[in-house]
Amino acid sequence: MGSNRLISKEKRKQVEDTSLSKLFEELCPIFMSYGMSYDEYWHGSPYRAKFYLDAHKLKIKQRDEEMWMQGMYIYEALCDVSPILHAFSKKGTKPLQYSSLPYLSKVNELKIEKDKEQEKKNAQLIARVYFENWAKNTKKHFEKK
Amino acid sequence: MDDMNTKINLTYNGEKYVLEYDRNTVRILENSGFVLDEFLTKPMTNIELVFSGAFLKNHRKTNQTIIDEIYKKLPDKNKLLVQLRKMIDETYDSLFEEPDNGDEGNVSWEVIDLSPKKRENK
Repeated sequence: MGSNRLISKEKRKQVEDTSLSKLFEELCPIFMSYGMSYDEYWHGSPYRAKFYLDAHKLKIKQRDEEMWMQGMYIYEALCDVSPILHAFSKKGTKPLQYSSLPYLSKVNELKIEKDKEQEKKNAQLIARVYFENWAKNTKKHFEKK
Repeated sequence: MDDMNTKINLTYNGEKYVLEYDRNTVRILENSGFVLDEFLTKPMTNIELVFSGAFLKNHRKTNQTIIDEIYKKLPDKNKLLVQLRKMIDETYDSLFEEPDNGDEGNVSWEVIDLSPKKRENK
């Protein structure tokens, strides 16, 4: 028979060493923890599991990014307050001002500004094309006369 | 995304059959004596059992004699075997990190009308 292997030899070995039922039963709670229902896992299309796995990976990535962002906020807060934490700081020293806005709001603002610029450019381009066409047509019109 | 997995579509005596596996049917198949390792090494000795198993998901009440008749009438047993193997592969392939092959699912075998042909009167 022609080889029609969808998975690598190592994975195949992993599957061959155990029964499929045992493997499915072992992995069922893991996929249920990813949000897949029991019925979906056992009776649904096998490929659904792949999407749950991908979604789980995305969730982990999002959580990691959130944690990183939280670290950034804590770091900034510590940096801002550090002048008054200094043992030999002068009297009347004040902490630096903490960011008035969350980091992502600035990112969104930048994006909106870029979008607006692009829209303006697009409008200019459309006007230019329209004017050029109008000029061409007018020229032709007078040439005919 | 029920269309993602490989299926075999066929028609026999005017009835349409969609053969596919889910994890439960593979479990039932194993309880009936199916061993994946054996199937990979001696595919032809297990093909009939595996073929019957493909009816469990959508056509559980189909009589075994009808399944046997359909099996006998299937023209290309090698192609059938490849398809069945692929369908079983998919039940566990989707549980692992990344499929090695980009050609994942979304394949249907051509619709085959296996209904007995009426003899033309000469």
